[in-house]
Amino acid sequence: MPDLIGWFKRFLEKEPAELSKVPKQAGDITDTQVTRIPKTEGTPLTQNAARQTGEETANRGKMGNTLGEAYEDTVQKAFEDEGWQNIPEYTRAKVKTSHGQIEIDRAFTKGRETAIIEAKADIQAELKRRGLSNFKSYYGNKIAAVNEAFPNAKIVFVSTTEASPEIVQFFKSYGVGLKVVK
Amino acid sequence: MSLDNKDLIERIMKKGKKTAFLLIEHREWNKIENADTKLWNKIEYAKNYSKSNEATIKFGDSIEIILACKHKPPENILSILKAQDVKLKVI
Repeated sequence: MPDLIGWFKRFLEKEPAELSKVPKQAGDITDTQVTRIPKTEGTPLTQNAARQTGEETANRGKMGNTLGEAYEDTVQKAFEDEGWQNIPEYTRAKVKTSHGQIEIDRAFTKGRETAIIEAKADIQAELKRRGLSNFKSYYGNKIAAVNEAFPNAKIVFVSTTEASPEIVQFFKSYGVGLKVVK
Repeated sequence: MSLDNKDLIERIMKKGKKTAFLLIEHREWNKIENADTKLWNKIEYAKNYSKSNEATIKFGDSIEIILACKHKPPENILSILKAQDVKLKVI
């Protein structure tokens, strides 16, 4: 995108733009909120785990990231140049564990790390799609993998729909919080 | 991401002790249906989100919202930005 390259050249030659002039109050942000994702080692992917990971990635794509990554990177760079830093409130992480490779969304709360295994998922549709047995197997495996990769993290499943008591109990037995966001 | 993602916050930025939402729109404004309504709703969502239990980032009493876009917005969009005290950056 030649126009963006041109903009960057002009941007770098300019004084900090109007954004830096805005005096406002704001809350404290701790360093824990910008912790980077640690790399963990594990066994190679099983075919099944690879299929599931690919399936998830495809589903996330359907959720609609309508901007090209290059543009987002450009925006990010522009704001970093002005002194703004992105807080990775939701940061996707891919890690390999003995349970296979997992891809999760991670969030950061003050003082404690939270791992979000599903963000904004329709739990009822997910249950219907997988069937109860496969649902429990899939998420049991995923929770075990998250526990291995992020042993200190509180694990949360964020759903847009209410779950049945059996599913609530299932997650509860693993110590996983189920948060419904409508 | 864009204004058509109704309930997603694109980025949360920090600069020293200031916190800001960064909304991103790359399309031409005249090609976005009901862009003014979508923008207004998204700004409201950002403001409400910052006060909600859903937010895992601590926000101060006032937050900044910044709209980054590729095309200069029309007057109706500019008036919304002014009314909602949203900063604009055309890149």
